[in-house]
Order: sequence, then C-alpha cells, then structure tokens
Amino acid sequence: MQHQPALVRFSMPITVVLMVVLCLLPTGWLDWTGWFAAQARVVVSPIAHPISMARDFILPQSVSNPGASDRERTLLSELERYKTQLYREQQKTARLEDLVDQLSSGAALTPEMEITQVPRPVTGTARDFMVVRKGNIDVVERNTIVVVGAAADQLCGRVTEARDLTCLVLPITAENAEPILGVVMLDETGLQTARCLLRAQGDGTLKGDVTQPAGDEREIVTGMEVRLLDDQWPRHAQMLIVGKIERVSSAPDQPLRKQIVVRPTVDLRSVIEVIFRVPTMDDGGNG
Amino acid sequence: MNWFVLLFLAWLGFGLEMALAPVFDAGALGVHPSTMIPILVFVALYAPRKHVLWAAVALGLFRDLLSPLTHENGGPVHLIGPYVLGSLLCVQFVLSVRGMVIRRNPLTIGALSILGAIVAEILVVALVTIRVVFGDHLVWDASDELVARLLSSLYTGVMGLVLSFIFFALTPAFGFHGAVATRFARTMGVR
Repeated sequence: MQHQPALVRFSMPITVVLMVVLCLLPTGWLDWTGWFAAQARVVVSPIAHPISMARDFILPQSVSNPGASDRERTLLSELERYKTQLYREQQKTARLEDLVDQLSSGAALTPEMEITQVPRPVTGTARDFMVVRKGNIDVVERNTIVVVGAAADQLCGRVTEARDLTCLVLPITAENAEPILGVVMLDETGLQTARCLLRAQGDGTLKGDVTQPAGDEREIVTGMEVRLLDDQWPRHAQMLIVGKIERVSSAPDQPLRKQIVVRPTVDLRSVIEVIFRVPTMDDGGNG
Repeated sequence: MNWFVLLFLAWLGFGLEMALAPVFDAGALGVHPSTMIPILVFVALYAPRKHVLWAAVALGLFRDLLSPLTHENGGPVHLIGPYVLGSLLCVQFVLSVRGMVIRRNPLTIGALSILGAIVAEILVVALVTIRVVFGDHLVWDASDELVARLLSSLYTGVMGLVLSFIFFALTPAFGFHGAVATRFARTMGVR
C-alpha cells in the first residue's frame, strides 16, 4: 500500500468528496446526468423486459372482468372507442362554436391535427416513472401523450424525458404527477357532465372534488366514467378516459360537495405496452 | 473477488427491481424492497474492504441513475451521489460489525440488510432534504419519504432473507479470498 501512487491511495476519499459535491449541485447543472441515466436504463432493459413479460404472463392484466369472453371484451372496447369519438365530437362542436366567435373577432385558428399511434413496450419502472423502450422513433418527445388499453382511450400520462433508446413516462396516477381537470359523465349521451379536479393519491387512484352545474341534482354514483377535459393537455388528448369512479363521499371541509376517488380502467403501473399519440405534422401544423 | 459475478448479480437485481416494482409494491406509500442492499451486505461480509467500498460506489451509482426524482415541472431529475454515499455508509456499517456476526446464516443477511438499508436511506433523505431546504424545486416531502423508506428497509430485510439462500449457493462463484476475522464462526475461503 505504501508504494501505491497518491492518486490510487486517495481515490476513495476523492470519490466521496466528488459525490458530496455532485449531490449538492443545483438541478440546472445536472442535465448531463440524464444521458448517463438513459445508458443505465439501456443496460438494464434486456433483463427487465423479459421479466416484465413473464410477470404479465403469470399475473395478466385482464383481471377487471375475468369472466368475459374475447368477443365480449372486443365489443366492450369497440363501445368505448365509439363513446370516446362521440364525446370528442361533442367537444369539437362546442369548440367550433367558440371558434366562430373567435373568427368573428379576428383571432387566429389552429388547424386540426391527425394522430399517429405508436405502440411501444414498457421495460419497467423507475420510482414514479415508467421506463419505455422508445427505439429509434424520433417523433416521441417531451410531453408526448401516452395512452393504454385495447381501444387506446385510457389516458396513461406524458413523456417527461425522451432519449435515444428509452424514455420516461410520468403516469397520471404517480404521486408526484400534476393535478388534472376532468369531467364526470353523468349520462351516456355525454351532454350532462360535472367538472372535477383530480390529484393522484399514490395508490393507483386519483381523488378530487366535483363541481356539479347549478340546478343539476343528478346523483354521482360509483362506476361513472371520468374523462379528461383540461386546457393544460393537448387538444387531441381531450376526452380520453381518466378512469371510473370507485368511491363517492362528501368533501371533509365542504359537506355539500361531493368528493370522488377515480381508478383508471387499467393498472397503469403494471402495463406491459403503451401507445404514444403523436400528432402528424403538416406544413403549418403546430403539434 | 470475482467482479463479473457481482456485476451480473447486480444486473439481475436491478432488472428484478425495475420489472417487479408493481408486484412487490406494498401499498400507497411506495414501499418496495431493494435487491442492491442485500447484495452489498453479502459482499461486505466476505470480501476485502477495498473491494467492498468500490462495489458500493458502483452499485450506488447505478441505483442513483435508475431512481430519478421528480421536478416540480413534472420532469425527472437524476441526482448522482445520494445512493453512492448511502451505500458506502451501509457497507461501512457492515464492515464494522462483520467480525461479530454469524456470517453463514440467512438471518444475518436479513437483519444487516434492514439496518444497512435504514442507514443508507436516512442519509439519502437527509441529502435530498438539504437540497430542497436550499431552494431546489423537487417534489419532496421529507417525512413521507422517511416513513416510506424505513418501511422499505424492513421489506428489504425480508428480501435479504430470501436472497441469502441464493447468495450462499453462489459463494464459490464469487471467489472470495482471504480470511475475515470473526468471533462466532469459522472463516471460509482461507488461502
């Protein structure tokens, strides 16, 4: 030991000091660490993904209605898809009405966008984030919308970091996810709705207060659908399913106001595949 | 010590953690076990001190890179350092007590995994909390994190107990050389 160079002898203390300095650096100076983290995910993915597949084989996702036949499940997913289309068309009608008002006052309009859906496998999780094998898809970038489910209408979350081969997705049910605005579908037509602001609880559910329209005495019950209607999310993500109401109670501070617990139709932490919704960019399109 | 076996085992462990987190998740608090700590505890019980410290640095670094924190804007923040220092403290603790324990006993791995994980996690929470106190915009609640991580440490002990049987079976593959002074058990792998 006595004959080792000083650099070797002091390598461990130097490492410790370096680590102390690194872990106290401001966040703004740590962008470069993302590249190393992406490489670490690439290294672990070849073993994590087969284990995820094995997990899905042993503990399959379709536990919500195990008795349903394949045909029933197909019909239900078709139904969900058409319902999403219906609600989206209704929102579009409302938006067009607003647009007429805007145009009459000279405001600029945004052209409609087409969506490309890109399915990709989930490698695993890293704390709150889902690690998704992105491959060489260049169109996936930060804030790309991610959905899951057979009909691709269950909102999953947003891409928060996109690297060369992997990307991180923050699910809406992650404890640190931002709150989202949604609407409770009070009837099948989608014309009667109640607004709600939902925050993730960290246990796979979202919780929040419901604001019913004045004079509407329709009761909010478990099983009702909640869909996204939030200006903070892109237009093509509106009316995607957030989940179904699992529990209804009175708000603790305002007993007359209802509080709901919403659970996504799919356990977002256990999905083995997600779908990126990528706007098709045209000339003049703004993504 | 055979570094290839250690890194292969760590690779498997991180893969298991990444893929099976939803299965092992125990409730809403984010309580889940770690495979890294039992591996480090096992290595720290048998390997030379210098190897143990560098193993802690390598595995801690990997853990840092695979455990992003959340920024207030929703993006991930990859901090390098907390788990490296936490792992170093953990193995330092095991190195200091390894002469007093019965090493070839699953309960030893389990118990030391609990204590080692507690030591490491307390340091990690302290370091990140210091950042937040000084104005870093991370989504972080120190008390919630501490509770979750202490419960995770207990869970890690259970994981250590289970993994210890695999570790003991793999002991020859690790190629530990050199005797570690111990009070209660025979040394192994003496050259």
